[in-house]
Amino acid sequence: MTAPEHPRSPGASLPLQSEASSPLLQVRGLTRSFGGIRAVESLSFDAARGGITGLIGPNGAGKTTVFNLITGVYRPTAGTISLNGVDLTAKRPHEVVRAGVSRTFQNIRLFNRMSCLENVMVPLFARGRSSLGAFFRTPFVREEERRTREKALAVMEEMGLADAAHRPASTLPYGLQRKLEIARALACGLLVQGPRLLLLDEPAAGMNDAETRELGEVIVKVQKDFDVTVMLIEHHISLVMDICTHIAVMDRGALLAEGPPQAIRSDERVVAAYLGRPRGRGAGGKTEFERKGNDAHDR
Amino acid sequence: MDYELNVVMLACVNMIAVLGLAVFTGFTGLFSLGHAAFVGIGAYTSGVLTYHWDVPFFFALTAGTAAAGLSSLVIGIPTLRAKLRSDYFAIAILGFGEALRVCLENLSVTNGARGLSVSELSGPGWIVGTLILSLLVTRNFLKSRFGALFVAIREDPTAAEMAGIDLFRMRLLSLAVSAALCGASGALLAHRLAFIQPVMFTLTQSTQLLASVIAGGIGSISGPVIVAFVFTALPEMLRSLDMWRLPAYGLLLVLIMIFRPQGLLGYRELPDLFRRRQ
Repeated sequence: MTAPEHPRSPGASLPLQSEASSPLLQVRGLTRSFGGIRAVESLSFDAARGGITGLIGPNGAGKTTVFNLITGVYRPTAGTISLNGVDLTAKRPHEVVRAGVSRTFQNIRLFNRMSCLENVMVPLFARGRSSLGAFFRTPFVREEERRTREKALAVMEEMGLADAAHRPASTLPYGLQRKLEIARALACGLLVQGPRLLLLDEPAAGMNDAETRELGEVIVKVQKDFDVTVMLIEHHISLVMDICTHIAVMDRGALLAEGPPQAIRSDERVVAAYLGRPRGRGAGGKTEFERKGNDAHDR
Repeated sequence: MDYELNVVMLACVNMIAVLGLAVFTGFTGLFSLGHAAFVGIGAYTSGVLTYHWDVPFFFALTAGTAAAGLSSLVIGIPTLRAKLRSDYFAIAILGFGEALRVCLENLSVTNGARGLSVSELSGPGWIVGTLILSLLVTRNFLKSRFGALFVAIREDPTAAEMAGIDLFRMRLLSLAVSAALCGASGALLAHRLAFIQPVMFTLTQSTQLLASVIAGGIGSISGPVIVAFVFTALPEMLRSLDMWRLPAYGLLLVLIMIFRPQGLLGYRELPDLFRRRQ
C-alpha cells in the first residue's frame, strides 16, 4: 500500500486522492547492518503529509534504528530516505534537522542544567544569525535574544509549559519532561521553510493510562496547531490505534504490514508476530491483540 | 612591594589562561591536557616579534592572541571532526602540546631550548587591562546564543545535534576562543618574565590550568578565575613553609574535591551567591 493515505480516512484503502500530494517522507529499500546483523532490511514505507503514522513492532524489530537512520545518526548501508523530495540519505544530523525533521528520544534527553525555556531556545539559537557581535553584546544580539525568547515562550504556552519556563529542566516531573522534549522538537521546525516531520520515540513510555490518553490528545493537537507530520514509535497499542491515521508494522528489521488502524488490528500476520498466536476468548471471541487495543492494559 | 606586585601580576596572567580553558572545558564539556601549548604559541609569537623586529607590544599581543586562536584549528579540525570522545580529545591535544615543544626547541628563530630573552614590556596596566577586557568579552560571549549552544553540547551532545547544532563547528569555535585567550595570556607572560623557554609550556602547566578549572567549578567563569588566583598566589605566600608548600597545594586540591566535588562555584557565578538570599 504505497498510495498516500488521506488523514483520518475511514476507508481501508483509497488508492487515489483528490489532493495531488505525494507522501512527505519516502523510505525506499532502507538497509542497515551492524557487523553481521541486519537491523533493518530493505524497508520501504511512506508517511503521509499531515498524518500521524505509527511505527510498531516487537522489541528489537529495528524501529529506533529507523529513526536513527532518518535523522542521520546512522548512515544506511543501502536505500534512500527523502523528505518532500529532498534526499536526506547522506546528510548529517544537524542538516537533517534544518531540512525539517526533529525528534524526541526513547530515554528523555533534555539539557538538564538549563531552564525549560532555554531548552526550547537552543534549537532557535542554533539557527541564529549573530556572530562577532556576541562578544560585545550589540543591540542586534539583544534583539535576536529577545525575539528568540518570545518564540520559545509561545511554543511553551502552546504546550502548557509556560509556568515551568524558568525551572531547571531536570526538576520537572516525568510527564512534563516528555512534553518539554516535544516542545523542543517543535521549536526545531519553527525556522524551517516547508513541511516538517516530527519523530516521537516512545513518547508514552512509563506513563499510566490517564497520562497516555492525555499525551495522545497533546500529539493530535500539536499535529494540527503546528501543522507537522508526526511519526511515532509506541508500545501502547491503544494510543496508536486511537490517534494514528496510518500504521507500519516492523518485525526483525523488515516491514510486516502497513495500513490504516482497522486493517492492522485484524491482520493475522501482525497479531501473530506482535503478540504470539491469536487466542479465542469467551463468547466475544476477541483476539488478545484486540483486547489489548480496547482495554489499554498493555504494559 | 615589588615582589607582591609580581606575584599578583603573574596570578592575573594565569587567570586569563584559566578563563580560556573554562570556556572549553567548563562550558563546552571537553577536556584538554594541552592548553599550555596555546599559551606557548602566544608567548613565542609575540616574543619573536618583539625580539627580532621590535614590533610594538600592542601588535605583538594581538598577533600572539590570533596565532594561538588560528593554531587551534590545526589540532581542532582533524580531531573534532572525527567526534573524538572527550577523553581521547584530551590525549590528542596532549600530543599536539608535546610536538609543539619539540618544534620550539629545534627552531633557530625561537633560540631553541636555551630560551628567548625578550624585553619586559607588559606592565600592570597591560595585564590588568587585558584581564578585565577578557572577562567582559568572555562573559558577553557566554551569555549570547553561543554560550547556550556550548552548554547544550556539554549537557547532551546527541540531543544538541538533534536540536540542529553543528557540533563540529561549535566545538571548534569554542576551542578557538579558548586558545586565543590562552595566547593573550602567553604574550603577557613572556613580556612580564622577560624570558621564555619551551619547557614552560608542557603537560605540567596544562594540568595546572585544568586543575584550576575543575577546582573552580564546571560551568562557571568566576570560580576558576578565583581559584587560578589562589593557586598562583598561594605557593608564593607559603614560601616560608619551604618544602611543605607543594604538599599544601596538593592538600588544598584534595580538600576541594572532597568537600566541593562540583568545584568552588560549580554551575554558578559569584554574583548568584548574593542574589540568592533575598
